[in-house]
Amino acid sequence: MITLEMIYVITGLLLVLFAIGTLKDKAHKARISSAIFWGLYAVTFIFGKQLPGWLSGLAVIVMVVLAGMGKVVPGSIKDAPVEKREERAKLLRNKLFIPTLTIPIVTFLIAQFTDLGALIGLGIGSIAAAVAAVLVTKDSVGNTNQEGRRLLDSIGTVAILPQLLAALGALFAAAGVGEVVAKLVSGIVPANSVLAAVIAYAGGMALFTIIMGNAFAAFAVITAGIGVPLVIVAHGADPNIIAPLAMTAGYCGTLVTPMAANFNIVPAALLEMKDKYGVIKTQLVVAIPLFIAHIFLMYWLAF
Amino acid sequence: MISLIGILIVVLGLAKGYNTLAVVASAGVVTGLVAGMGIVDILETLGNAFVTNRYMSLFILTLPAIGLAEKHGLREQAAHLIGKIRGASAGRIIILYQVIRTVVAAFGLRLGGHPTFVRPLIAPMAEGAADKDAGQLDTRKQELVRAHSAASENYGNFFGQNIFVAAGGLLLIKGVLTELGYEVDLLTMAKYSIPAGIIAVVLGALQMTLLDKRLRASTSQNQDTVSRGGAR
Repeated sequence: MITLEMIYVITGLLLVLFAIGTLKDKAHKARISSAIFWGLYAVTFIFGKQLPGWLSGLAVIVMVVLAGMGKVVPGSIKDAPVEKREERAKLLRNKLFIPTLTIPIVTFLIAQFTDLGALIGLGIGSIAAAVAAVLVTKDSVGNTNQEGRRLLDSIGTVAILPQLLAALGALFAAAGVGEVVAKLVSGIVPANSVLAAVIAYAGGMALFTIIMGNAFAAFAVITAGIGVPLVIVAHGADPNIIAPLAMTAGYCGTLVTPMAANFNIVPAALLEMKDKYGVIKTQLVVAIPLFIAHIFLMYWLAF
Repeated sequence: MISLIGILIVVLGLAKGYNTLAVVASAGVVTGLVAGMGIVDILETLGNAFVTNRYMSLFILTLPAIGLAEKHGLREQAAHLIGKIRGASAGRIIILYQVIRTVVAAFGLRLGGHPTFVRPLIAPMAEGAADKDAGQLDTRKQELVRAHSAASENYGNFFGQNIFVAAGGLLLIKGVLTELGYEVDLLTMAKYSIPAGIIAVVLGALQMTLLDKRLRASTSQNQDTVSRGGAR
């Protein structure tokens, strides 16, 4: 049976291929340090489960140092020229969508009809898509690797940011940061105002989500520290109603924080945007009114 | 209170534009130190969390397929396809995607839309439509269209997902509240997640309509035009 660990190993092996490609790229400006970065990343994927935690942690620190010193840069593979791409598009037309659509379709089929789950589905779908891409374009497997490396290079070291932020969250949790924030917020709320309590709960969720980059991480702490004592117990809110609203109020925070890197920063890099905060800035316009709407929804529906 | 120093480091570090990875790692290490953790403890926590969350980076597996398809003109074909539809504009395409994405999320499909849909399909389609509808795309307009495309993926994903009765978020809520002594019902919570989903679509539609207005109104002052398909 295919396990998630196998998918991680395959991802790691792909990164090894990228590292090797980086080493062999003669025109690369920093091939050794870049190859070490991707190689270490590969190690955390392949051996993550076996290695003692501190060794993985050390590998991450080395990666961060390399990246921080500017030693990990894109290689010399360029986009194919526009004329070439247009020419190929005219030839292959809608068959080009087959590899792209294979990913979500296979992910869905596996998640729906087997008990392997969406993550393994994504892994299998990606491999199927790569095969489909080679068959449709009749290009070589070597070039497939090249193009993958080109894309990963353009995303850059920011690819590891989501996992690193999860690690930061774990350290915050260990240090009790959430409890401190909850205490601070609940300390300034007047005891008899329902509206103030609601704002404290929603605001606490959004604020701590902005800090942690993840509403799931915020929910337990803020609900225990603010939601239950100040809103559910003190004013009798229905948990069935106020809790999911608090969660999506937290998601409003996710829209505006660089800490939610996989939603806000990595996509900006993936889309080759000049402004790495461009997605966040755009989302502010919706996040703020949507958050205010949550206050009203909580106030009107939950009591 | 001193445990909040990590937050300060992140805020100041990002504001000053230092390398994001270095800022985050430093904040983590300092937080661990002020919490009385030893260096080995800190590395242990860091490493374990990093490895546990490998699933966040599985999008890397999609890169070879998408990269190869792009080399052979995937984005050009997407733009070309949109060009054949009359009345297509960047805003309309993006809002349509947000609606679809919300509905799909509400049915429990977790798609990871940024590498799978936004980069290879939605953004190039929106750029192609903007090119036709609002005049030749320059870098500034291209940035706008890309940012809005990514935003719609997030709006649809975040505010559609909890409408699904077995959503991860709802299961977490149930778990936390049960621990705290409260019985909650998944179906009820899913229903009460619908208003936010609808409001998110409405606000998104407003924002995308504004996008179209902005794209049409601005004329390209500089000669910095970009080739179709939005390549670098």
